[in-house]
Amino acid sequence: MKQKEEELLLKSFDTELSEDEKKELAAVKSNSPAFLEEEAKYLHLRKMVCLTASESFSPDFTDNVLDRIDNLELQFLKQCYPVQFLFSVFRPFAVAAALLIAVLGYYSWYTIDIDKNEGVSESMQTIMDEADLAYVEELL
Amino acid sequence: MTDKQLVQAVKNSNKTAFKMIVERYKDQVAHTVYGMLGVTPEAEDIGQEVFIRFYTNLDKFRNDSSIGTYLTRIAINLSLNQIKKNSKKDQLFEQKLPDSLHDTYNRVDYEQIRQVKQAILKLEPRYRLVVVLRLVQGFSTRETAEILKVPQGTVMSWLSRAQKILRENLSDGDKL
Repeated sequence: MKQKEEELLLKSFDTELSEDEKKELAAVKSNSPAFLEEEAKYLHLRKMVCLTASESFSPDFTDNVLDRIDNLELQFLKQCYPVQFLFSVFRPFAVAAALLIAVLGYYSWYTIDIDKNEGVSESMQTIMDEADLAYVEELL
Repeated sequence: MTDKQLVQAVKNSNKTAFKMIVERYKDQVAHTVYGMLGVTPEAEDIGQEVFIRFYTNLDKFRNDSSIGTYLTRIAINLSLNQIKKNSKKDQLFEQKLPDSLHDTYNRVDYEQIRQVKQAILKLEPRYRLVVVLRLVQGFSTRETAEILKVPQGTVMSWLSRAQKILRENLSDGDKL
């Protein structure tokens, strides 16, 4: 087969053949039995090669890719943004601790407030008692 | 969603969009990696690495080439690296085909397919590349040239040479 014909054969399954090449191909096909024979062999080879491409990745391939990306992102945070990394790792604990501190804070404030109120009222009572006593003493 | 929309969404940190890209292109990547390496223990790991490289280099990806072409280029580069490593270790794997093929094809066809696969893996990497890209993946000559960064004439001459070697190496060469 001539080099030009071989080139056409190799390109014959190309979706990007130009109009001129399509015409040339049609002309060669109608005039050259050798070309048709070669084309048949090429087709058979192509079919066999395509049949070899039957493997696919495991079913959990996509999940594994996503897991690896998550790990990479954590590593990146750890190296470049340690504070954010710590926050991302300890976020659940940080939230729990913040809530605990808030609850304890409120509780202690509330208790102190009650004590303070009680303290104020007690001291007021004392002042009043003392005032009454002073008044009584004055009267006497 | 189109590929462009998916890429944009991934750039906006949308993991679901990335998952869709992986689902959409994993078979194409598998055909390239397995075509280049055969059924080896590293093939799946390299397949994962292809998508990780794509994700981490997304800023460099411009929408002037398709995702498929871009992923194939990464898969080719990683596979070539692996071939170099394997050649140092002098590894040669006897190729097995998936069991599902037993059900689909009779014994003769199955054996013939196995032989073709073995013959492809004996090709020099550059010839194997054009066989995988042109015959398995169905990329055009122009696309193959773009992926391999060689002239179109080179793609055709490599394919022609690959075809001749395959015919010589196969026991039923007269049919091919």
